Amino acid sequence: MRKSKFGIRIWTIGTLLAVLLTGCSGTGSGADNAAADSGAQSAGGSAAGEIVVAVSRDTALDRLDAGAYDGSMDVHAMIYDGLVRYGEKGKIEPSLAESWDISEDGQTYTFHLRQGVQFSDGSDFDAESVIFSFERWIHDPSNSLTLASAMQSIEAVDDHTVRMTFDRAYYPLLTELTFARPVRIISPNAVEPAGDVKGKFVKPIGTGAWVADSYKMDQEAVLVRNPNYWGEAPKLSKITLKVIPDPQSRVLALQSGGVDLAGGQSGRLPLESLPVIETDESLETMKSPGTSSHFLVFNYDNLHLQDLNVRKAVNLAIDKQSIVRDLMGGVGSEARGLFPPTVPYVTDTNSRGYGFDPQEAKSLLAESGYTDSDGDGILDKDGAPLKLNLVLQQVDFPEWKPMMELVQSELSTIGIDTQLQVLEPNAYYDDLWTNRTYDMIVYRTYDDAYNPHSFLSSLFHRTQDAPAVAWSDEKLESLIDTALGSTDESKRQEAYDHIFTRMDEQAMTAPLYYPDDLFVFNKRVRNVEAGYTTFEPILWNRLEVGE
Amino acid sequence: MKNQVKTGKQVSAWIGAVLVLGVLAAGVFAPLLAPSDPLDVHMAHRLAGPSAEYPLGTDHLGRCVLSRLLYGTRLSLFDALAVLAAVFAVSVPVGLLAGYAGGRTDRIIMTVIDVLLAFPGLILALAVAAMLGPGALHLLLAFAAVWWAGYARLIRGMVLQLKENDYVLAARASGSSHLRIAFDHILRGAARPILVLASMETGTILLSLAGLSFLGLGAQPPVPEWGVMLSDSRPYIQTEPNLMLFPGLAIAVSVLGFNLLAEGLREPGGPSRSWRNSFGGAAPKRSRAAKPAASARIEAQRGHGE
Repeated sequence: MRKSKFGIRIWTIGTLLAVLLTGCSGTGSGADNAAADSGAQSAGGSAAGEIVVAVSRDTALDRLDAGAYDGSMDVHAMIYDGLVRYGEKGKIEPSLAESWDISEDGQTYTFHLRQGVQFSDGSDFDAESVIFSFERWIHDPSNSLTLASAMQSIEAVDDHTVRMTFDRAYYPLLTELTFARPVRIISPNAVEPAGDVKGKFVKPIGTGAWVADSYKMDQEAVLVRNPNYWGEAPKLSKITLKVIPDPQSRVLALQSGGVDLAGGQSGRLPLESLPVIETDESLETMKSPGTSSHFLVFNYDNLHLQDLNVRKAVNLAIDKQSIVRDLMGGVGSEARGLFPPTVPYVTDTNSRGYGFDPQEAKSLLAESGYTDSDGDGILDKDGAPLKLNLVLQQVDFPEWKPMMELVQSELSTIGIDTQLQVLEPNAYYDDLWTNRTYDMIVYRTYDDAYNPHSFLSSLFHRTQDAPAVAWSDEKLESLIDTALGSTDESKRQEAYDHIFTRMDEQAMTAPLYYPDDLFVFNKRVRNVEAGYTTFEPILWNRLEVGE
Repeated sequence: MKNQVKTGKQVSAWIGAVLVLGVLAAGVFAPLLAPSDPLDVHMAHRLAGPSAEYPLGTDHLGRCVLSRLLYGTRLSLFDALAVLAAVFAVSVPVGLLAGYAGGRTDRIIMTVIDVLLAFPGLILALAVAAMLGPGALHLLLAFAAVWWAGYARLIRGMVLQLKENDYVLAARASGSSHLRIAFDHILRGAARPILVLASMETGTILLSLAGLSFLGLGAQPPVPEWGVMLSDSRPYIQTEPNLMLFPGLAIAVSVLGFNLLAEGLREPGGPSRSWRNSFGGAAPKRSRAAKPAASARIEAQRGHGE
């Protein structure tokens, strides 16, 4: 009895571990088989123009309410249109609104709507449907968009003109209107009872190029071309979004031909597999410059880090080129300023950043009076060793661990002792936003439409009851206020020039890496072009398939 | 020993002992054996194959894999031994107390143990480790807090049997103190099975620790640890499979070593002697030799045997 009990115990633990250790590849093979099956179908029907795209998580297609935050943002943007859309480097382009006027004081926006547009169910798009869509969420106090909190009224001037008034001037209002949610327009027939702003969402009905066709939770979502679409009709007739949670399995599915396209943020591919992908003759890769950056936040309460020379030295000690080249497989670019050049208002002159110069870093530290008085390889000053802890998490960002190990070793060469602390995501975010027990913490900027205004306000500007999160600087905060309230484009650029230059000169952060989005697709897919936002990673409507 | 025919089990025990000693020595002498500093990052040499400078190649940060493996022994194996020590430090006195004292004390202790055993051990350890936050020491505590229950119960079972022995009764009759009886007579009788258990469990604990470290709960970077090395090399499984091979082998060899050793310790005289029989070797006589073996086992297994 006892003997077998032990056997069972060991066997159980062994099995558990085996499952833990191989879990990913285990699910992979299943997903891969499933993918291979549908791949056969899609290959057969390629004349009709169908592709299969791998995504990492369920799209929640049946709950894809334009006014809610549930489900896949990418699919939101495929099914629903906004009044305006986000073009290259944040340029605001017409979408359902053909044109718009902004009053002198920047508080009244009048949108002239596109005429003759129909929803996918055949009903007409007009001012009433715009007001319906906004009123469903605009009064929700939990909504953090300035659009929601600052809006005073929304009214129809006529059937194809909508006027919104706000209690303040805030230039990114138009940018907020390009978001994937909740600002996009939904048909009043999508709720029950139809047209009731408090009605219950039943079906995704939008004006977008794609319509929800079928959906199997945690398996796949099928989108077909919208016959009533107002713009240029998509070349493909059908896009199947297949859920494959494990990155390695997405690579395998691409290799087997079961999936035609994968990558971006909705189906990230492991950069370590790039060599394997590049040798595969059936696959092609595309790197599209991202709009986010990874960087170190300095804790302004730390005495060492209050010294500008220490902050500069940390910047100078980190080899940003090596991060991109060696750790990230060349997918990305060398970090300079906090924001990459794809972000609005960033120019070469206002975001120079710091290069890689450990010697200069050492002399800056010496200049500040740091010496290695006890010969242990760690600099000290007034008896306090230059020891800093560096907090990271590796669940959402597995690449941070090797990156921080590299940073740690680079900092040790200039005499800074860094302790890495890997926290689980909840503890990590608590530390970042509230506890602030870190000396340095690695974080990333938001994507596209949130940059730079939203990110700057949330990390570098005080709130009503708390000082700024990432770095507290009175002058910077007043510059941010100026930029946000300015209605004049050139004054805004000027304010941002000051903001970025000041952040750079004061070394308020240590930028590390500008990631690119990596896409891999089967060569039979043509016209693969990157979009301008994370939620529109590919210009879906232009995709074609050939043989 | 010399007169006994060397059975297959004995050979495997020797193999186990050699493996365990080898791994222990690798850990103790890591500073002498390691060709380079396990923390030295050389981005220029990353993912290099085996060479004179790096006998097992380098990892994704250009660190020497062999050096990391050797130093990893210290953490992986020595942590497992530390957990083992902690587990037995708790479970031996508790099991002894429950078994020897019996009655209410026994019931209370067994209730606690039953509650702990109601959860799968590894999952519970995972929860405790997550609560305490990552770190080698926290992981150690988490394991000790969860793992002791099973052993306390087993030890209690042994004690229940041993305390019926004539020599224990004799000691009691001669007026020995409870403490003396418990530690001198009963514990000594249970020493061998406890040793076997310990050897067997080292492998299990080592494997579980590596598993939790693999999940990021154990050793903090850049400290080398086998489970961490496995998890670090996972992304490279397609391009650099040998990165994963070496730490995997190290774990496998150590676990195998401890298990073989345990097998050998358990059965020194020959095949198919159960543990209970092996008590006979250590303790002078058994009180009720006629007692059916099955009922004794049931008593040992029962949660609240009175």
